[in-house]
This record gives sequence, structure tokens and C-alpha cells, in this order.
Amino acid sequence: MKYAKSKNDIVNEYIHALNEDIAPLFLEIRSCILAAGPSFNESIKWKNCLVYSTTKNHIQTVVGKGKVSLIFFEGTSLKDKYDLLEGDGSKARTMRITSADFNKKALADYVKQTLKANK
Amino acid sequence: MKILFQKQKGNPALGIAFFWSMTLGTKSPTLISDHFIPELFYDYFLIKKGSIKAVDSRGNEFTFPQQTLKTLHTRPIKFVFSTPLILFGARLSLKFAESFWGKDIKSNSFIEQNWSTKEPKDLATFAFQVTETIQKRRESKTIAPLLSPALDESAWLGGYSLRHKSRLYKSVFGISKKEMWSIKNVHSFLEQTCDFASQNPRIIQHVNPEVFYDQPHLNHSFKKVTGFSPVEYFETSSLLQDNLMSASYNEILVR
Repeated sequence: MKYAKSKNDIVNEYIHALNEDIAPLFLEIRSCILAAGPSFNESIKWKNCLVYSTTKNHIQTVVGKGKVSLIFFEGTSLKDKYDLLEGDGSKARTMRITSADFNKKALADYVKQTLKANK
Repeated sequence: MKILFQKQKGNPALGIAFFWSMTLGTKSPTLISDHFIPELFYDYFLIKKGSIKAVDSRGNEFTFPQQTLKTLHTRPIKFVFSTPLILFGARLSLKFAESFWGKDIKSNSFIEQNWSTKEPKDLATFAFQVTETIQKRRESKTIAPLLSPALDESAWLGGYSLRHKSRLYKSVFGISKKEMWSIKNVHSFLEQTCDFASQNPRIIQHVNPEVFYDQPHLNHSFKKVTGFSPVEYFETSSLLQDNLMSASYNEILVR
């Protein structure tokens, strides 16, 4: 499995342990997020959630069976012109991704908006 | 801000879960607050660059000397890191406390130590120095381990009175067995596979009925130990502890 190594050993261990069925999709999403948000740091929160953060947590990745869900902690503040964010909570919104042909443009847009709002 | 976190295997037989290093880099020197909740681990810190101040929930402040042993905490603390920061550390299990050579291992404290006599150039050197010090200086405080990894009492303690055992736990670990269980219970919740994405966060689905009666019970216990509600904690960034905790959960500790 080839991927850009994280600066965090725990994240590398986590990626290494991912199920082969979901790893390619997970890595595709990860590279898309890091390309749009190069200032993100990666860490593992709780036992198995990859979190992208700056001075606070912004996006959390949860791997499920055949899907990867991205929780945007400040999702309600994002302009959702692609209509891909789900949820009705007061703050967070979720983007569910099930295949490698997901809308990369939309994800990059959400990531950029997230970082812009944090400045 | 850029974070680099590295990990190296420890020596479970000596109570060393793992070694780690963390580098925090920022464009200009700055102060970063970081939350740290109680865990059943002791942590050894060596500051190579930068400084750390700890502030507890009662407002007591402590500035770290270059090398410090953090004992078990029953209350949350806030670390204030000054960047650029280069830290080396060792995460130590309860087994370590059973052979710690110092007289006093009081809870909620930071003890100045000097396990690394020469400033280490890298994590491997630090790991070597710490292992050597523990190996040389350790002395068993009891004839056999007090607790199993699941916190069950060892059979040899069966004949002792409750009062004696309680004194023993306090003197060896720094906290009571009841306090240990409070911390363990909170972590049994945090250790779960979190899948809050299938719905909005629904904490109730993650409440283990064997540990907590209901969600209010979880919330109350969680807040008492961590200072946060579960959802607040979920959203809180704690740079150092997030990494230490996930590494600890994934380590198989042999006591």
C-alpha cells in the first residue's frame, strides 16, 4: 500500500492496519483533504477516528463497512452548493463517501471553506 | 502549526508501555493550551526545547523542570506549551509504580527526576537511557503484583483487611482503587469503536450498561473525571493526549 506518510506515527500505524477493502478509498479521500488543506495536522482521536486539525479539530474520518464518513465539526457554517452534507444537528454535518468516484471538487471546497472560516 | 509525533516500542516487563517524541513548530513563538484528562498511566517528560506549564482544575500552576514524572491524576489538567517545543516521553503502566524506587508517588503531582543524565539527541537514545535507569533503580514494593491488568485484585491480598489494602494501593499507586475504577470506566467508554457518523452523535448508543446505568450516569462520571461532557470532549483538541491515548489503546500491555 503506497501513500504519503504522515508525520504522526500513530496515523501511519492506523493506515497500515486498515482493511484492504476500504484502504484505497480512505487514502484517496485523505490525499484529497491534504491537497486542499495542506496546513492540517493528522491525529487519531479516541480509538480509531482520524482527525484533521489546526489549532482545533475540524474534520473527523470514520471508516465503516464499504464507506468512509467525514464529520465536519463546524459543518453548519459551510455553504453546501453540492448538497452532499447530511445531518440536522446544531453544528456538525456529515459527508458520506462510498466509492472512489466521489465528488472531489466538493470535498476540496468543503475543506477550503473549513480552513478559511478558521482564519 | 506543524506537529510531528513519533513512537517507539517500550519494555512491558519494566512497565514501559512505549516511548514517544512530539515536536510542535509554529511560525513564531507562541503559547498553546492542551487538555489532559486522567488516565491510568504515569508519564515521564524530558523537555529538549521550549517549556511546559501545567494548570490544574483548582488553578494551581506548575512549571516543568527539564525532566518530570507525572503521577496518576484524578483531575483534569491543562498544559500550556511554549513553542517551538521538542519533547521526549515515556508512558509507564501501573506495573512501573509497583517497582518505582522513589518514596512518594502522590497523586496529582509532578516529580522532578533525572533519569536521562546526558541530553538525548534522538528518541532511540532517550529510550535507551530511560530503560537503563529503570532497570538499574527499580525495587519491588510488594512480593507480587497487586492488580491484574483488568484491575482485579491479586489472590495473595485475600487475607488482608480492607484498610490495609487501601493503604497499600495509595502508597504504591498514589490513588485509591475506587479512583482507579472511575478513571477506567471513563476510558472503557472512550476505548470503544466510535462510529458517530451513521447518525448525529448519539452517545446513548455507546453507553455500556455493564459500566454505566444510563446516559446521565455516564455524563456525570465523565464530567467528574474529565471536566467535559462526552460531546464537548469529542470536539476538544488535545494534541499530546490524543496521540498518547490512541497509542495506549492499541498497545497490548503485558503486566
